[in-house]
Amino acid sequence: MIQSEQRGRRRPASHAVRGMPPRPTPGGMVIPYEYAAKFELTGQPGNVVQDVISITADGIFVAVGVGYGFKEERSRPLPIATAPGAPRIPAEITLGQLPPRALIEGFRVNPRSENMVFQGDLTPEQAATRRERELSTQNVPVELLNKTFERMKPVEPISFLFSVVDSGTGRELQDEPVHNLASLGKSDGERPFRLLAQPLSFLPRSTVRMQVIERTPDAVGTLFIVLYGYTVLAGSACPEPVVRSLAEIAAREAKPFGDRSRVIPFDYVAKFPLTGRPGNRLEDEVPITVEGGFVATSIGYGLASESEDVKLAWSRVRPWWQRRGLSVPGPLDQWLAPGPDDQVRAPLGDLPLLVFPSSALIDGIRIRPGYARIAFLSGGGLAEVSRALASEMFERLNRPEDVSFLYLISDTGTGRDWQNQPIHNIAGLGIADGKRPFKKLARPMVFQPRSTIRVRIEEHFGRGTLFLAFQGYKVLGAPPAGARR
Amino acid sequence: MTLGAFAQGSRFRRALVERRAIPFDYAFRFKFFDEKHETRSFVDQTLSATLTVSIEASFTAVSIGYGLIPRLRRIPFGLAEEEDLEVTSQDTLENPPRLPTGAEAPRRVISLLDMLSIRAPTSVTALTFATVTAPTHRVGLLANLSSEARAALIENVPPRRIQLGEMINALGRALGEREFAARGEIGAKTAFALQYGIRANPKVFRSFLLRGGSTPLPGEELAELFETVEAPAERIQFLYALHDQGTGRAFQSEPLLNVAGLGIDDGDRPFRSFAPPITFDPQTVIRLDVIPKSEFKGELHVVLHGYKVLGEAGTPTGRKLRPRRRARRVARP
Repeated sequence: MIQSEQRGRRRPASHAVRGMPPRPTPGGMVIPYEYAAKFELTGQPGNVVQDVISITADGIFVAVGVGYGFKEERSRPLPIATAPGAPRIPAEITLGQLPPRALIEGFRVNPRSENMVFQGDLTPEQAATRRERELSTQNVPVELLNKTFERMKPVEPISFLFSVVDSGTGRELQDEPVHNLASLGKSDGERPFRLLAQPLSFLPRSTVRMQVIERTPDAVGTLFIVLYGYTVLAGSACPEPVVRSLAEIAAREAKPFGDRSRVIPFDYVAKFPLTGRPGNRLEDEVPITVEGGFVATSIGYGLASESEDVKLAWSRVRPWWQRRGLSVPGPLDQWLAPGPDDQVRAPLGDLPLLVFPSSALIDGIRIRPGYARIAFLSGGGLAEVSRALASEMFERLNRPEDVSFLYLISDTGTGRDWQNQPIHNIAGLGIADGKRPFKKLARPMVFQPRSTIRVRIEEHFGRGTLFLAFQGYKVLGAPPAGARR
Repeated sequence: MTLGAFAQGSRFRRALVERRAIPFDYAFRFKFFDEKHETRSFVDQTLSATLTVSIEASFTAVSIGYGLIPRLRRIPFGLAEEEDLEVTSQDTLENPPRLPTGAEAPRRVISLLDMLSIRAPTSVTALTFATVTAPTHRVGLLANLSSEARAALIENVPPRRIQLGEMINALGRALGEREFAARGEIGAKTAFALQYGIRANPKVFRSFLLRGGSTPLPGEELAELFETVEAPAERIQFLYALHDQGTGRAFQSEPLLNVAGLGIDDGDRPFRSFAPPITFDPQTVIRLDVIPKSEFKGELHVVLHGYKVLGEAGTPTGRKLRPRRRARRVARP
């Protein structure tokens, strides 16, 4: 084994001596790469799930760190009518008919049931810019009504035990299953990710088996454990000793550009209008300018969402009932009494959902934590509050730090992806609130002039404009020396 | 080696540069408030600021940071209205007469009238009874006050006798949460202010100290004896774009969200560092455009951290080294 490595180490030099075409330099063959394992968690402590990562035949993968993130299914059923009854219009449901837990933690219109609550449909662009939608006046059967809204579980830290086995060597990377908090750190994606004490190489076609033992009850969703590092491209037919020698060369980090005088820091930005619909797929391409190559060194991201305030639309109430040829119900009429907003008081439980903006119902709303003690009576019922107070009592669930999505980045110039599968943002990029340091690529990624970075996003939670910034530098003039492929 | 030759050497030059490299920060400042129109929104408006690198040396920026000085609007408050009084049923010697409406505020006024007629005036000063917002029946009740009672009400009271409950009531009124004060409850804004902090108003504090707290303050001073600040914005979001005006070069492909490009707004370090440092020549004009995307008020500071290298050729701090002279050879006769 040792001899092979030594022989392999000499080989690149011998090619040069013989006058053969130069072998690509490590800077051109090394690309940052992430291998992710996915685990479907059921929320049952003790449940064991496992996944296998298969290293591609393209080259050797060197893992330098581990990150993880949990794409939690936060939605829970929200039954509104417990007994069978006549069909009802969803917009006329009052807050008093919702369980207190839903008002405290938050609830929203089930994305699959939007056609029962609203009229018409919106394009993704319109949905991202929060265009208000017309409420539907169609009656909905009770069975469907119980599926029209869903309670949103707050984001909570997750706990599990995990173990990693290199299937190629049969070697375990820990003596017993380790706790995620002890070994990987917080589950909110706070950076820097846990770095391995020594980079770990995986040869082409090898496999890594990961096993997870659940510990958090009621945590349902997909757990991503990501090995991030770099791949040394060698070709599937490359002999193993050569591959090993290339990995050793690549381990000595090379600067893609030598002349710093023509290098300027630069950020390329990809933008996505997130609609808030889970499963919606978006794509953006960032073209690299012709004036020089670009080297990406780290990635940052953030969601620009609009205000969390919920402005109640009192003016919508009377026309709603007039359109239906009915008079405003008595309890609701109290809310519309003339007078200053801070003096007109009515029971909060009589407030119908139709006074809430449609965008807020889609985003999800809850009573602000600071107002919960005011909104509820000691017995759990809703209190009587003024119109002014009701207008400032609610907030949207669409917060930038809760954005959740899967991403896949590829270099269209070479046609290579940077991940083996779409990866959850927390697992691959880290916490969503912008805490530094940003996610640093294990090796800088070199893009040729005129090439493009393609980013594909699959939405899970959050609405607004998502910014994904490739931070790095640009080299003016000549193409980068290390980018020959 | 002569001293002159040593000075020409590369080692010496390196040492000279290291010695003359001084850490330096250039800051952009943006004002996101309007003193004349406090409610003015700056969302989606582009604000630009430029700075010129000083002529004395080039500037190398190695990282960038930002922070917001929130415009904390001071809200003075103090005992000013009869609603501020902490009057409970225990304060009255007898049961207060009931009003047909059963409203809370009139009941308290009646309690107050009872106290005035029976007890000494309590902690109350400048009363503004005939307010427009006051219910008519309350105005009527208060209009029936005798001149002695009115005088007793307006008479100033020592600040030391102000109760915590009265401060909370006055604070709630100042923050627009009258309804909570009227019910003897604490509103959300009031709770936040109590948590965030209240203090003695510096404008009145001297007068308060001179009186030792035992002597009554004038009504208008008691009405502003304390102050608090409104809650700062929960979130700061803006797009930014950095340009070098000298070369016309931008440092990003399009305006970028602060969270994605600069990081969280609480100043959590390390700051965002530039992959290679940017060197700006002397007299270069750097422009920063900022487009707010969320509602916040205050002064935004965006700072380029780096260093200046003094003594470079072509700058006022540069020192020309005289070329080495050749030794003059004198021809021997």
